[in-house]
Amino acid sequence: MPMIEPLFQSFMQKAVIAGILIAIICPIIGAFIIIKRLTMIGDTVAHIVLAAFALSSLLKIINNIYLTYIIPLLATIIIFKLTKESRFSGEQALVIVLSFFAALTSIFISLGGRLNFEAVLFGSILFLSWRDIYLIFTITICITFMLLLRLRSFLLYVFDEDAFYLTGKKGELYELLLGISVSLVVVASVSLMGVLLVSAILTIPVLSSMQIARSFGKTLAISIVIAELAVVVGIFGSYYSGLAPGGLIVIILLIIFSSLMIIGKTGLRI
Amino acid sequence: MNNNIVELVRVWISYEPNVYVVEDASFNVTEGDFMALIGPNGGGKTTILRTIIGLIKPAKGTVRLFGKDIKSFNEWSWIGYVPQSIERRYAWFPLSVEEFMKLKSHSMSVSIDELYRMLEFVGLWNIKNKRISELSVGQFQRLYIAREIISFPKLLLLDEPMSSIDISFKKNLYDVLKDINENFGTTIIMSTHDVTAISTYVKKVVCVNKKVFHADNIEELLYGKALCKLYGYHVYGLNHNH
Repeated sequence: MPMIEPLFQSFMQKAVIAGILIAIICPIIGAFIIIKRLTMIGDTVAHIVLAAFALSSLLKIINNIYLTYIIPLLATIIIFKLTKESRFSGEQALVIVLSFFAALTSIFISLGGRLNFEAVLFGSILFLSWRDIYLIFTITICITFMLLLRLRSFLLYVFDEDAFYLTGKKGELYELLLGISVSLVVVASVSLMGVLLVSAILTIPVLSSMQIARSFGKTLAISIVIAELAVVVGIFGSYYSGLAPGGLIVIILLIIFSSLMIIGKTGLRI
Repeated sequence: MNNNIVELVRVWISYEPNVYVVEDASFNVTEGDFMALIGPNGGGKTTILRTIIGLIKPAKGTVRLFGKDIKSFNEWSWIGYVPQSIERRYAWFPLSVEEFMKLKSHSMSVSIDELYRMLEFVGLWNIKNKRISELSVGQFQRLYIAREIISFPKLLLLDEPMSSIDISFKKNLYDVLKDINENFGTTIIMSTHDVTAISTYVKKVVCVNKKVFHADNIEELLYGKALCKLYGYHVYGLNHNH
């Protein structure tokens, strides 16, 4: 059973569990950020994580969990605030923030910070710990539960903010919850996907399912199936080929996206 | 007893510091009114409507809703709002007609049967599983109006609601607005350029061109010189009493 054999190895067990969880939560959160027109937020938060990695390396903090979660968390909340209050569009503000943190990373590295660039940029199946898995599991369960419990409110918030406002709900609360969710999901996904490719798992499954789905509910369901397929095949592909999992997963996602785009053009809808 | 639903008291509105798009606007809308807000493009109609529901904060002056200062007003579910040229910017996302209707229904007590009846009324029931991106502008406008009127709000604001709706359906929708206004007591404020509709359905008119300079009855508007003054050239209304 060549497919089962890798699963006897601890690092593959962790990679597969993490991958399955990430493939559930990333498309769910991705759907909301795509509607909110903040598609770049994944890339931006990933660059904040990169700066946090570089800083912790510079400060010689080996166990950098607080730094890598808390810095992006605070920064993402500020980004959500800025994109709302600045005169820039959301995407324009994100490019500025992304550039700032990329510059910080470069400075931290120049000052003596050291990173395993291949694993950090393109992902790895080797470096996940069981503590990472517990965190990813907790994040996935909590955020999925919260979003599904308040699905219509979150959808209305990202889709039609004026109408949301007239329901009397606090927009600031939803903004905060969405900011925290995006940040946690990106940080949780970075180890497997890599900084440069993490936004792909957030957006490409959703953009693919949008080609054929008739409704939001179906968009979510199809995008989770697509993400699961790409992640599981990508992780096993990485095991057998030695290639970075992030790159393989993105290539598989892009093949699915192209296929569904062609199918969508025929007018087929599910 | 004060039955003012909306009160604007010396309201000034600006998007840039010291550049006012609406100056010193004051008017009241009382319970049961069906009021039209008319004026040229860029005159401040949309700005006033959005200020009434708190989407824009005035630079000066007071806005009261149901007798309460807007800052302490919390009963937003009493209000329905149909924005101008319905925002198509997010209509590309695969949201079905039915899902769109349900987006707000969680905060109202609307059953699925009522929701389907409303979709049937606006002629969209047979395409309830279609994506909203596949609707025409007029169909989308009908859908938006349907979503906002289904819960019979106490106050309904419509910003040029019929701009893309065909003539035959326009009359049906105006009749519905009249019905919920007369039979369910919904107070309606509608910005419009449709002078013919004003003469048939509307009880009160407020004219806006940066300043509010006419807020009397419809006869005076139609037969006086108010329209000419407002638009800067000869404009006459048609009164259909039949």
